[in-house]
Amino acid sequence: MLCSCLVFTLSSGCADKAARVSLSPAPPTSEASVLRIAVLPMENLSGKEAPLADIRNAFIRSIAGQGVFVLSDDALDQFMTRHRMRYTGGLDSSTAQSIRTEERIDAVLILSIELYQEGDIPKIALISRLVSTGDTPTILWIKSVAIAGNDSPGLLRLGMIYDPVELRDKAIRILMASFEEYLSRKAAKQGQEETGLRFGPKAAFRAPEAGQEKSYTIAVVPFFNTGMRKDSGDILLLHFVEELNRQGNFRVVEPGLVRNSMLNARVIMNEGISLADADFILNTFNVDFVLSGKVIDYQDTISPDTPPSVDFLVWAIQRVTKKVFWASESYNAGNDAVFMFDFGKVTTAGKLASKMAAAVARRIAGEQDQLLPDLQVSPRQTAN
Amino acid sequence: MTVERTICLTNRNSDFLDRHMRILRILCLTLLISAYGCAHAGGGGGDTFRDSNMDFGSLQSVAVMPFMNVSRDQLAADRVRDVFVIRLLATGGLYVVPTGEVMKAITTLGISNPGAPTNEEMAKLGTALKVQGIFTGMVREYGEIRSGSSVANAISLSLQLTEAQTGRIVWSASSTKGGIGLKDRLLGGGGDPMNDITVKAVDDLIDKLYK
Repeated sequence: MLCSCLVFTLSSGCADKAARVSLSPAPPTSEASVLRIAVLPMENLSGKEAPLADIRNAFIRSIAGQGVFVLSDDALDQFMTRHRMRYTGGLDSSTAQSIRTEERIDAVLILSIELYQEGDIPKIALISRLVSTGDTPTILWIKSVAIAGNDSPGLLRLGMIYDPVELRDKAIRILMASFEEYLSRKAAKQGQEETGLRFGPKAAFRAPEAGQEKSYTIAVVPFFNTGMRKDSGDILLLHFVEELNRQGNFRVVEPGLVRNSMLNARVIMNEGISLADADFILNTFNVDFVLSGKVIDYQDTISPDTPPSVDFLVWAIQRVTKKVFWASESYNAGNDAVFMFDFGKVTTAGKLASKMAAAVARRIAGEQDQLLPDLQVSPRQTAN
Repeated sequence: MTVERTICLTNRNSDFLDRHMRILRILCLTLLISAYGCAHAGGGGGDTFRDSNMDFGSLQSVAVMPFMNVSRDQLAADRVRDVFVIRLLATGGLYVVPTGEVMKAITTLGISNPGAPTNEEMAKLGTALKVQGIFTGMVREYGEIRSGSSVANAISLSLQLTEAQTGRIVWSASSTKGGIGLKDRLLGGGGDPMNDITVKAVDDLIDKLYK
């Protein structure tokens, strides 16, 4: 009954634009009122070796502890073999339908590891999202965490974490706390990332004709990567998906759907998105905007003393006008505006990217005037 | 006796005033020289050409072609172009076609040298992209420069705006920012970050465009 309600909600949402935007949808539960999920093998975006199986198992243990049914590894392996499923960083519509009908799975948990570093000061960055199965996969919950052992050294460095396993467990606890809130439907609107002014875009354009609608639908395509860090285009995409989702007035298309349709249509972006490519995505997903960009720099740490740095451009093209609706340039380092005792220092590129993406997402949502009053842009930027 | 004393006091006052006037003159001269130096430090004065017959108000949409790069940094041209495109859009005065769309048009039209297209290619680009103006540019210097033991970042950039239909250059300017200043020589430190001086150079050129 509840399943059919969910399907009805999603399908009716596609027909009606106003109703289409479902903010923080309720957890889909099966007839037995137990949420049945499958935890996909972790997607490794760290560019290095990481204990993926250990982290995934720790996730599964935490989720199972919350009374959620998790599909067994054997059943998942068989399903993936049967469907020749190799990509685990997203969910396309055919896989979403198959896993629902064949395994009676309500939602799939997709885990991505962005950073894993052992050594003197361990670091970890994880991004997880829950995507509904069925005809139209929808992002139900998404959360990222990026922490380092020296985030809170405290008095006499008593707060330092030197053990990577301890740090990993802390990261999983943070994600699970958010997941639990989602399950208990407390998180109707998730809290805003604290961005301050320092993480805002350095220059930005928002089309004057851009409306102040209450809700938008948006597709985010992988960012064009010109930096040294592998997969940073995919990482930044996930941060934008999270932050746009967090705004509350965006319904973001599941990135797996966008990726699959771009692959099927052989869309190749030589240098950013063209209007023809944007038009294809806008029409395929019936969305208001398509957001893309370019990553120029995404560095975690070259040495322990070097702060992380992130540098990217964002473009958003509007469906109605077929023109650029938003363009911005953001660059920050982890020690920007840090003057003493490392107070306010950001220790991971993931956290920095989250804050920068949040600042951009807020401005795209039209909240720039209140949140970023003294944005450093050319004085000629009129009342955009 | 009283008269002599008065004359002596007057002479002393006059000497005092002369000495102070001399110091004041030296100070004024120093300030003038400093002000002149500050105005010209960092290459603020670039050459600018503006076609007086061109109606710049008729320009609504422009395309920015990939910049030519003669600096040592291979990614410099793309980086500077990206900054220029975003900041030009941010002025709200001109609509700039997305760079992906420009690249698609270059590929479709088979333009072999996008950094310096011919007049015919300009006209074709103008029609394909529905733009009235096309920016081309060259990055001459981008990155660290050294002088003795001093190091600092510097950028040198020149831009041209061509009317798409006629292929006529209507505006041209250049800007140089950064470099080794007195502070860098005395205190070291490597100068301003590359991002900051790129923004300064681009803003300088945009200011010259709108003047």
